[in-house]
Amino acid sequence: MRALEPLRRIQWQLPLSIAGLLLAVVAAHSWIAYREVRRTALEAAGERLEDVGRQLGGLFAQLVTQRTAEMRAVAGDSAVIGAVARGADLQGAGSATFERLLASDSQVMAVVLWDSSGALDEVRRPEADTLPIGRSFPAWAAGDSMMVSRFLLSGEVGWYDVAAPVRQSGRTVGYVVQSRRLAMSQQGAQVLADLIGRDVTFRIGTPGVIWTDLGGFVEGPPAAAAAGEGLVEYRIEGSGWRLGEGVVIAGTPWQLWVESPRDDVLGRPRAFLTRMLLLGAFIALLGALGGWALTRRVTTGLSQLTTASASMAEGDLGRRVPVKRRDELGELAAAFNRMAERVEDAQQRLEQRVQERTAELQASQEQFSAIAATAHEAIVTADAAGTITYFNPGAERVFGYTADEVRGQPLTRLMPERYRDKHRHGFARFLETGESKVIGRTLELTGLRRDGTEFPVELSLSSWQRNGESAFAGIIRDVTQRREAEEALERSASELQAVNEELEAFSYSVSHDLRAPLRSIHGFSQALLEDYRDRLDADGRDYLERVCTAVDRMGQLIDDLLELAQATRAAMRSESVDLGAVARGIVDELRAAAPARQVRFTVADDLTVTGDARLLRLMLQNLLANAWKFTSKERQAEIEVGVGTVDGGERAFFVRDNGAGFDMTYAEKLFGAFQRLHAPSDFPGTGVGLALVQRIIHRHGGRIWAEGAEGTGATFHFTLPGS
Amino acid sequence: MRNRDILLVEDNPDDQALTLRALKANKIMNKVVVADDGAQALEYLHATGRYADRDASDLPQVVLLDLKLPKVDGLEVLRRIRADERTSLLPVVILTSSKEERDLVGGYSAGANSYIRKPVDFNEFREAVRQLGLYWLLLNEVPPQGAQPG
Repeated sequence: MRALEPLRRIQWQLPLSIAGLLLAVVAAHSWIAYREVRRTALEAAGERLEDVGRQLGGLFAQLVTQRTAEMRAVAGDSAVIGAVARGADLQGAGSATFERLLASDSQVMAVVLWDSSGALDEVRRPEADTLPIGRSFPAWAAGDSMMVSRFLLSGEVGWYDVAAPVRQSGRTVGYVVQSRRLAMSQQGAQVLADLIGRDVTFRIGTPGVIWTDLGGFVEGPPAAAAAGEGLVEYRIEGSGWRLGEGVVIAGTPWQLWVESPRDDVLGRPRAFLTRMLLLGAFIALLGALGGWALTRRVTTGLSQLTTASASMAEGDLGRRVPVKRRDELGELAAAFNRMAERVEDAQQRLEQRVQERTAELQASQEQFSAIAATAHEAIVTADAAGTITYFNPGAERVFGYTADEVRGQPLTRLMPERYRDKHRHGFARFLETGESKVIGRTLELTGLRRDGTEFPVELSLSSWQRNGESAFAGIIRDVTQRREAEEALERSASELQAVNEELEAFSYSVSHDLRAPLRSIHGFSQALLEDYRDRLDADGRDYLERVCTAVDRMGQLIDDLLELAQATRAAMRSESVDLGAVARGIVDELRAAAPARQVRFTVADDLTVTGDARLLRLMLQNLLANAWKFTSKERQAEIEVGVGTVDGGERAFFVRDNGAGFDMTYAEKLFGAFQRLHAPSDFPGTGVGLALVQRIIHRHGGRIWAEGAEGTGATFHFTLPGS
Repeated sequence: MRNRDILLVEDNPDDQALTLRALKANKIMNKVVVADDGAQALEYLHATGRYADRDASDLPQVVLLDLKLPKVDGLEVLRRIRADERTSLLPVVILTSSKEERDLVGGYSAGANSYIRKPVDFNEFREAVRQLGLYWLLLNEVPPQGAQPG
């Protein structure tokens, strides 16, 4: 069985599809859930940051408030006010206030008293000497809104200023400004970190100047992020994504930035997603397995069916598929089995029929072989190329070749040289056009034997199609002998013809030339009798009369002979003749010639025959004339013409008379020419009549015989076949 | 009886004699011209050759014609008689021994008016001649002299 590509197999496709589907569903679901969780996490983170920011902001604001309050207190000190009023430096109490302030808080680096013209007085820590404090008027504080400066940086030191306006009589006449160092310490940072929690970091600063997380200087948030509103996600090179938010600390120009590493925030959603995906994968796998298991059941059934079909195709018709299930596969299996059953059955029947046919064919083949092998005639078959494919023993005998010698040779080998081209032309023409003068006909041709002799043959040629190609078979008869016989026959026939023609001429001559002298003899004898009657005595007259009688007789003989000869020679026509009518006609003539005679004549009905009318008339004429003649001595002559049957059911006609009859002993002589059974003195006649009758009957293929008894009468029976 | 001639075309002298005898016996007085052969018969009829100075329009009443003649055969004579306008209507009786059908048919085909077979028996022959004479010389209407076929 041809192996399927894995991906084509349902076995794979279905589980994969299920897995895929499940995965897709789970993935989609997970993703949506993840996004939701993420959002929630981010929101939470944002809130947290906000919280922290607020917290911190509040803290710082508080801090700032304290400081500003402190400074306001300082600014409200009368000594300080006095100094500003005077426009001079601090005296005694004022200065002490400043000193006290400096000493009480280590973060304070300097306190400066300002009026509009500039710095009036200050106190400063020695480490702050290098710092640019007290150099420029805190114009930023003039607005009253902001009492705290931005962060300032010089070298490694960062500080900020807290200011308070000095007011006299409701007017602001100067400021007191405290410069505080940014207190950065690890502990401080730690404390704050503990306060706000480890997940959030903050930094506070002035963009472009410094940022600090109160543990040290730090980088500020990326400008792009810092510019954003609310919770911002941004990336820091090397540290990953952050969530951050800017918080405004009220009353200060400081920026507070709180941030969390996003990944921390997203850690849980991500973990969630991963878990979900894993779960999904697991489900998908389960699904795949389940699908696999399910399809396995189906494909097992199918492959069973497939193998069964394949082996059926190979020829194993007995294969059946086990029907174990009740579902569609079960039905399919059952249907398959039924089909296999049918096919097997049909195959068996077919095989049986084939066997029968083969046996028949075998028998027919053997029959043909036997026929061909034993046939007397030559049977030769050839293919479309004109080469001999079969040469039976008859052919071997006729042509003198053995079958082996001649197989594969062209047909032209069997004919004389001079006919070969014509044969080839005719052959080619037949192959092209299907027309032939030879195929399907029997022809007379010349054959050529092995020893080079030619001989006449009769050839019957046929052609048929086999596998789309023409094949030919010829039956050849050596007709040498027949030809010779035919030629001999022809010679005989022409001799006969010649003889007949001679006879024709002869009888023509006879008809004229023999009669003429007879006429003379008779005529002059008569003349003698008449003219010299008185000079002749009785003897003389008697002799002359005998001469005349003899001549008459001879004339009659000649006529009869001629008739006999002509009856034999003349061509016979075949027509319907009513013997009865003919007989009646003849009897009428006889009666007319001898009206005195009493003859009762009976003719039967339905005497219709087929034959030559003239000859049959002649025949009847003779028979009836005979009957008339031989009943001449009867008082009441009876002549009958009728028909009866003889053994075999043949119709036999008869002419019967009640005349002189004849002795049956001499019956055979009756029909011989010139044979007479009576003396001419009793009954005249030449004896040719019956010979003539017989000749005529025989020419019609019939036979004639006579019955008679002396004194009783005679009956002449004859048959006319074909009637 | 009209007194026109009878032309007898017969080569056999015996038959000639006997025919003449029969005619005489029957008191047929017409002059009988005898031709020994076909050529002579034609010469007579067409007034040529030895009969050149004969009147060609003087035709016999009847021609008795034997078939078996030397030189020109009887049927051929008949045909030539018929072929010539002057003699084409001439009554010709074939008087011959032949009973051959082909002569019979040939005779009539060639235009013979009648065909008589000469019997051997002289008495019969005499009777036949009598009847011939009666018919052809008395009864039969001959075409007028010089008549041409229409």
